[in-house]
Amino acid sequence: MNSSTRWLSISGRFLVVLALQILVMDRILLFGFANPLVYCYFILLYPLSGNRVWLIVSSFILGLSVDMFNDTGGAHAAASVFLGWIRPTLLNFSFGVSYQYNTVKIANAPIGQQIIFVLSAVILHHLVLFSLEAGSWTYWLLVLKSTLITSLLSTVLILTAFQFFNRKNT
Amino acid sequence: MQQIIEFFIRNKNFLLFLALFSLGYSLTQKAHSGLYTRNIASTNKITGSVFSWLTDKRSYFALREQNEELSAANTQLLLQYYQSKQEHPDRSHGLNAELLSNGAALDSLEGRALNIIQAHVINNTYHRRKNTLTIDKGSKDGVVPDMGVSSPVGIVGIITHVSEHFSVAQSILNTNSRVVVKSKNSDHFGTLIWDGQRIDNLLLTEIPKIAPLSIGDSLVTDGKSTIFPRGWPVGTVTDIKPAKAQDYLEVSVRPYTDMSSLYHIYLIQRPEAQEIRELEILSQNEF
Repeated sequence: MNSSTRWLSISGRFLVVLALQILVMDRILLFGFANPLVYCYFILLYPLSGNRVWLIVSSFILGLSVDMFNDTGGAHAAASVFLGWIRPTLLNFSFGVSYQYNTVKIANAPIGQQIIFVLSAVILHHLVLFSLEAGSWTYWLLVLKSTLITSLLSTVLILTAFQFFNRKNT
Repeated sequence: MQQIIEFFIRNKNFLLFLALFSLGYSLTQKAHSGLYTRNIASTNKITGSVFSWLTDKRSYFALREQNEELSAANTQLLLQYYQSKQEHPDRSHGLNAELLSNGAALDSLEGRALNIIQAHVINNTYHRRKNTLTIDKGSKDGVVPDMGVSSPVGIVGIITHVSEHFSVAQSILNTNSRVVVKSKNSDHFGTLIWDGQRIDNLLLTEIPKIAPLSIGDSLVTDGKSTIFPRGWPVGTVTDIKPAKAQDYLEVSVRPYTDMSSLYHIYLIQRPEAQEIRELEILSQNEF
């Protein structure tokens, strides 16, 4: 893939994920409080060989766009930028150092490694997000509860999307 | 010098992360204190028009439900109208009917006209601790901050931010929300808050034990807050417990409005609100 088609496919994915989050996922509320957050998909599937600076910047812009539609100030932006920054550590942790040599394709890796990667990423992202959103320690129990249940929901959706859309490329 | 530059280059990812994270954090803190800028709130042009478009598409599917709610509200208004006609046969004919047809209603007790603006909710959140509503009317339509927001059946929130075409209201499902309410049958009042837990459960606090409350009682606004007129419907009492502070009760309240299904709303302004507030500020300066 040459660089301009790659750039196009990344920005296309950015827009699709953002639209899906705002137009569909933000209307869903399971068990009275769990609102699945699928836009992490973009950050998790950002090309492994891609520029890290751009990953951090685009994570921030993606998060800020979700914030604008949700009136949450900058909570999504902060959580996303955190995930974008910590992603290499999580990749190392889930797939071993071999990912650095471009031998791993996330969507084709063993399912166990995929689950560890997505679940750990989503839990960290949601924990930062809900803590910032709650804004005080008074709600810590609620934050933990939302983090756990929403993480499971988001993880299932993101893993399903992996299986459907990314068998070949990435 | 070279070492400093090298340090920056080596840690550029971390420094970038730190800068953007702090920016996100500070925006969040601003949103918590209610001072957020118009660019990040959903009153801005892009997000506002996306929500308007979406609401247009979605409102079609909710027509049946909305119609039922409207007709229920109509029935109740008619009942009230005839009741007041029976109680004050001379007053309700000319002036009252005329005001109603002009889009203004009468404050039920004081008999003064209220400003009422009909509007629609184009974005409604209810799964956070600090929930807000985005409304499709703005300063061009006469919306100002501190107007009350009500559904056809009961109170919903208070306007906090206004732009030209849109406005944002703090929902009663917001841990910052404070509304003074009283029982329909007595004048004991308390503060209605939300604990951030269930969307069908508000808490009435600071109400004295001596107040004659029982489960199933109706609660209405008190009229002390200058936002809602006296006697505007709020919800029903579902549970009463003694509060931690002695001599007070902690009362669970189910709002009349289903906060997860909002479309037709009214923005209410007491014409005397400005005057009351000015007077109160004056008296505070004196003491």
